[in-house]
Amino acid sequence: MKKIKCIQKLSKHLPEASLEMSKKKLAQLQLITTQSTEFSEEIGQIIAQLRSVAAPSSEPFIFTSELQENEQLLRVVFRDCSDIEFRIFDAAGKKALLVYLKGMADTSNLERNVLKPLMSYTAQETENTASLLHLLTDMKLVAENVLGAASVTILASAKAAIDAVMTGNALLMIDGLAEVASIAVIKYVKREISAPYNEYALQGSDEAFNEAIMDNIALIRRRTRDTNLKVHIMKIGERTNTAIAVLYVANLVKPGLVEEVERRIGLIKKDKLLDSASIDQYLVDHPWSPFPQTQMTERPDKMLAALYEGRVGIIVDGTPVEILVPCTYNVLMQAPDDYTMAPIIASLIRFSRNAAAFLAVYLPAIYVAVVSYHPGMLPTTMAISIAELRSRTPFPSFLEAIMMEILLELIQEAIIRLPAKLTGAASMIGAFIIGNTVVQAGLINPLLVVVIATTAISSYSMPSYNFSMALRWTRVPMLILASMLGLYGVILGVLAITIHLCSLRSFGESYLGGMFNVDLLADWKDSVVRLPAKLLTRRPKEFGAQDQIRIGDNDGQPRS
Amino acid sequence: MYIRLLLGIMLLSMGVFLSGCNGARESEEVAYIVAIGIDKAEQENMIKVTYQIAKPNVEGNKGEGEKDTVLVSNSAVTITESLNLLNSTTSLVPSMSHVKVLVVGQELAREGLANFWGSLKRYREYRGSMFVLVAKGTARDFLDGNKPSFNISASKYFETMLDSGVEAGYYLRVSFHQFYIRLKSNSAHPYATFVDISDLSGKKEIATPKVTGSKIDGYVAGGIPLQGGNPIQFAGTAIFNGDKMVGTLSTTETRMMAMLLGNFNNGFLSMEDPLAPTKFINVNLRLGSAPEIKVALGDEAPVIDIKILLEGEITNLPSGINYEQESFLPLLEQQVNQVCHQEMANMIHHTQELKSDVVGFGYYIRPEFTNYQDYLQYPWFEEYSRAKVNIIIDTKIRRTGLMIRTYPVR
Repeated sequence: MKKIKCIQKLSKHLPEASLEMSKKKLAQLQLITTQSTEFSEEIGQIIAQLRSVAAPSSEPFIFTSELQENEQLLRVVFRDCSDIEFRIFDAAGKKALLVYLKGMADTSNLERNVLKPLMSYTAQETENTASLLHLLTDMKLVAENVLGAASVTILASAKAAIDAVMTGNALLMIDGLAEVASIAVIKYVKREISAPYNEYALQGSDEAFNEAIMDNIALIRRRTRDTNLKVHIMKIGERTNTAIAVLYVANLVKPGLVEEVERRIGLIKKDKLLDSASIDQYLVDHPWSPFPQTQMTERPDKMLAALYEGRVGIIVDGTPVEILVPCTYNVLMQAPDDYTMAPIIASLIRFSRNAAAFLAVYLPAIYVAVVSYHPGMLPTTMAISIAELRSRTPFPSFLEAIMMEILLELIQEAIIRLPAKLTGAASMIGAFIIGNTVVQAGLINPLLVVVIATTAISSYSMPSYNFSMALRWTRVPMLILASMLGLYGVILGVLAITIHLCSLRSFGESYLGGMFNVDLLADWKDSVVRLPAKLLTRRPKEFGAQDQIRIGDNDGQPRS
Repeated sequence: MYIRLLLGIMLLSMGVFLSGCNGARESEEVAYIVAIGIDKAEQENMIKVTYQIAKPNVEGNKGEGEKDTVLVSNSAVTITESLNLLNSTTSLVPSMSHVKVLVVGQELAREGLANFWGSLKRYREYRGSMFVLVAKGTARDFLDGNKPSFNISASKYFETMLDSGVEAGYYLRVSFHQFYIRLKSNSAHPYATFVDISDLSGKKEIATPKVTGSKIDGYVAGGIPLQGGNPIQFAGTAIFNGDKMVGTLSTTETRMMAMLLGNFNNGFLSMEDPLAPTKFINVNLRLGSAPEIKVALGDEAPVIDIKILLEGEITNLPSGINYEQESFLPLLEQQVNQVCHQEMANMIHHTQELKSDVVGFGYYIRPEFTNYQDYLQYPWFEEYSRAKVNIIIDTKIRRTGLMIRTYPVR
């Protein structure tokens, strides 16, 4: 009671101290602050507009020879970017400015190769100063005589300069010069080159792409000394300006393919580009199909092999999984290990892989169709034993199969999403459920467990994860068809899937049709089977490489 | 685009809701019939149909020694009607898709099968792949008496039993489809495997006595001396004239028939030793090539020329005479030729007496006619019983078994 009295007293004497009043004042203060920020923004924009009146429409402003003004202009562009460093220093009596991004530029490199040579003249005050002063009249001379950095570009455009800073270069400006020098000192934190996470090869290289585009290109370059291997870097993404490199071998690639790839990349309208999978959806012809129409790989050796077959690689900055086009069923069925193993073994593995792809889609459907519609197709003893097994489970075969599918999908999804330490536990529980308990509980008959487990294992054996996901997807409609129409439905489904796969086009190449094309029968030597390397003298016809002969006397030079 | 999508969804949902799952029948809702037996019923103009139904072995339900099948019999006018009656007595839906054998009682077979054979062929549930057996007694007794001695299910028993017929050539398997084709053919008569249950007393009943030079008698099912094991015997062949059974061929005769049909794979022949008639010789024979059969119209009766190449291997020479030597080998081959020639002539004579062309010589006479109508005019089945038969058997002993030389017992 006494306290309240005290407060009342205070507000009586000092009306400004009342809670209401102070709130009001605070609000006013906030308003003024926001307004003033807005004013400063507006003033900044007006200045920028005034500047850009003089500048071409694509440029935010133009550099003047006044360092003060240039700095002001840059500060407006980089306002509220605390990681931008403005380093003002004295170079032989002239003011100079170094602008760079703190996390992306190598400061020790800058110190050694930029600051030290420029500032040392000031300190010594020798006759060199005079010559330096002479040099400082032209940025080109500075770059040629003073700067010790490996790569220096003279820029006049403000947009290019800002881009350069944002990619990690340092900008050097000297009072009195309207040109700026962009010094390549990019260095930022990145992951080391590591072993591939998803595409192991037993006897192949253990290097995989990482997130940095230049490193990825270097991984490719390091494997070949071929000037015909071209790298074309494009910038996509209105805001992120992500670098995308298109790689191809100039004298091999099918004419028009690179242009088409670049056209499609150029058509991408997107604000941000974080991974290669998202540009993949802009590149493909049929975005509604579950089947992957570009090949994803994290192996540089795989990409290089593909480039030398006349295909095109696309490397996206920030993603360790890169894209190869065109993509057909054939290339998805090839694994790097096929080429390190004895050809006769590799051929057998190829065969079982194709069989696995078939099983992964059709096995549960065939099971349901045969058990519920055509038990006459089974050997009698098996028909009777299925009846024995089924008599303990209450649901129709179709429901059983669907339940088992859901269970399987749940376990797979859980294992992918869980932290690595828990996946062991999850797969244990999964194994218990599938292997034992579901059967003991009388929910699902053991034969179906065998069928679903075989299906799952088959889909895991695909070299391409995306392709195995597509197989997982197609399984469900197949099951429904089988449960509705029996084997007739299965055959309808087989037809539908085959027709769909044959009509799919990836950059002009038929997805499955190439397998059954009489003209491309020669490609079977590296698709259905894998012949010894000596016999693989020709590149796959399917991708239409300009030079069909892989090993010849012209040694990679274009044939005249 | 959206119209197409909409149409697609509509068609799909119509497919789901209108088609339904009418044809689907879960395997545990089905009673798999393994064998069907057909007999004459006590009532006039009716048949007794026996179904052997597989009993799924639901865990814990089966006691020791319990059979894995149930026998259900009912009497009806037709087989299809009997199926209806069966449906009224079992909770499960009877399924014919796994029927292995169709057993016909001898009495009914001798009266004729034409009346009910049709629905077995025409109705889709019955399979043409089931085998046709003729039981000496009734089909029900045969199915009831079948107690496989090895741990094997009834369906598997019939499958393996009929598969293993080729091992000796003493019985032939004939599928319902083959039987039906011959039933409607004007060039051959149908035949079926002859089966019976033995009383396990071990006494024998010779159907065709041994020919000169041979050591083996011919039996028909039921006559084989047997003790212990499954009382079922598959031996000999029931032969038909039209849809009526007219007689049986014994085991040795069946083997000759198999040679003429070209499906004699393997079989032992025990003969007298040509140089020491008290001892015997055992050879294993197989057909060296397909039989060469030519039938000519002849002046008064058709002439059947048969040429058969047999290849053999010596399996036993108790006399110790060195038949492996080139000088003795022709003697042995001669003996085989003589025995087989005699047996085959007897067998053909037997079928001629019964007016049943089970070998299908009628097919070989067709080239003699310029067109099919001419052939139809020719009473082949009548002429067959008058036909003159010339048989040439050529035996080549290719191997001497695992020994190359014999010494007599000292």
